[in-house]
Amino acid sequence: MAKVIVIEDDPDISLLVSHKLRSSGHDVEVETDGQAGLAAVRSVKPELVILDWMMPRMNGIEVCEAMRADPELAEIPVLMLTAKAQEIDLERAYGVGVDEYIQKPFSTRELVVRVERLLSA
Amino acid sequence: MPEFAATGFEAVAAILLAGSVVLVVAMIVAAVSIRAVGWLVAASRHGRDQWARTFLFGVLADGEEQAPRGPLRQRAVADTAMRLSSKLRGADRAALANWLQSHGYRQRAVEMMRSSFAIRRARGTRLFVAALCDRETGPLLELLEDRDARVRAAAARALGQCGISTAVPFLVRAAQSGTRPLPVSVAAMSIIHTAPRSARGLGLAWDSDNPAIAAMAAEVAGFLHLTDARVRIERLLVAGDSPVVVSAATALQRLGDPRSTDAIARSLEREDVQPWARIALHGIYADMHGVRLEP
Repeated sequence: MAKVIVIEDDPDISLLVSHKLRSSGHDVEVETDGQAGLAAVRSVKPELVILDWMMPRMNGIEVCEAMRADPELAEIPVLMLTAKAQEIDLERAYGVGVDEYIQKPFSTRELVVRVERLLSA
Repeated sequence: MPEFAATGFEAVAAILLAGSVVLVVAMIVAAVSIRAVGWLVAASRHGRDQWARTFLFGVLADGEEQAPRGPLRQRAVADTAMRLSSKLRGADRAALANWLQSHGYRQRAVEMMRSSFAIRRARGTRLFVAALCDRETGPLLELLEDRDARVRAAAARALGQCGISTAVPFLVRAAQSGTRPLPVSVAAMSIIHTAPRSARGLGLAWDSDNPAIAAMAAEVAGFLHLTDARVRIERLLVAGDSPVVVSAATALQRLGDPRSTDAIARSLEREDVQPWARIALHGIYADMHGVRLEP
């Protein structure tokens, strides 16, 4: 069982992801904006963060940059789940230190596989 | 007599005052009641939404949930399924569609699409797409010619969401319609979602008499990076009006083929290109060629 924080402002997606990961035995916390998400990551220090890109107050790229700049959080794997689908977006996400990138619409099976791979790495 | 008049005025004033107080109290009670009822309705809807989400997550997990009873819960499931279907793909999407089909939601969507109310027809298209797993598009294509613009747009978006490239000619034709046109921007977004794999997939759009349609074809080709569209787009640089020329040049910039820089340079020699378009062309040329032209 791993601690996972889902930072996502769409309740359909955040609840689906948390439901799926809880079914897989993980301990999941959901935050709905980037700022609150980063604060949760700092206090919980999860083993994985699932991050949306476009969010209120602080976007996913900024959250990831802040995590990578903080020595205590820099090693936490980040999976970005976003509707942004252009090559340039992918480049930017990997550029700021995202470990995995899944485009919306997404498959929950693929998500779980990638989550398990990141957690076992 | 003056005393009687004064007493009469006082009585009238007292009645008016009392009436005003009653009116104000009634208004406050009404406002509080409306607020309370609104809050209760919202809370109830929120509760049903939460329930419907959990219910559909169960459907995604094992696909064996029984259909809910009661119209409010059925509607909540339909609404949530419409939202979820656009966020899922693969086995999850198929599981959701199969469940909706086998529990009568597809038929319900078709009935909604035949409603005399435009908003219900538009909702029907969304439910139909959520329940669609056999790529049946006929009812959606019919609604591209609906008398209400919102329904036409909803049908186009639904076709885009289905990702069926055979719908492209219908979307182009709907955008060209003289009597019941589909907004070109809606057609463009829907076509982008269907993601045709070659320039040929955009069919009649390239030869349209409507400059907006030709510009749309160029923009879609550029956005989807259809490299085989380069020559067709370059032709628009010669034949189109200023907005078409700029759309074509922007598309060529997206394709990024250096062979297109000469065509853009030639379009700059056209005297009928408007000044604002000329500025845009200069910028695109400079970006593609790594040089700066003086206007």
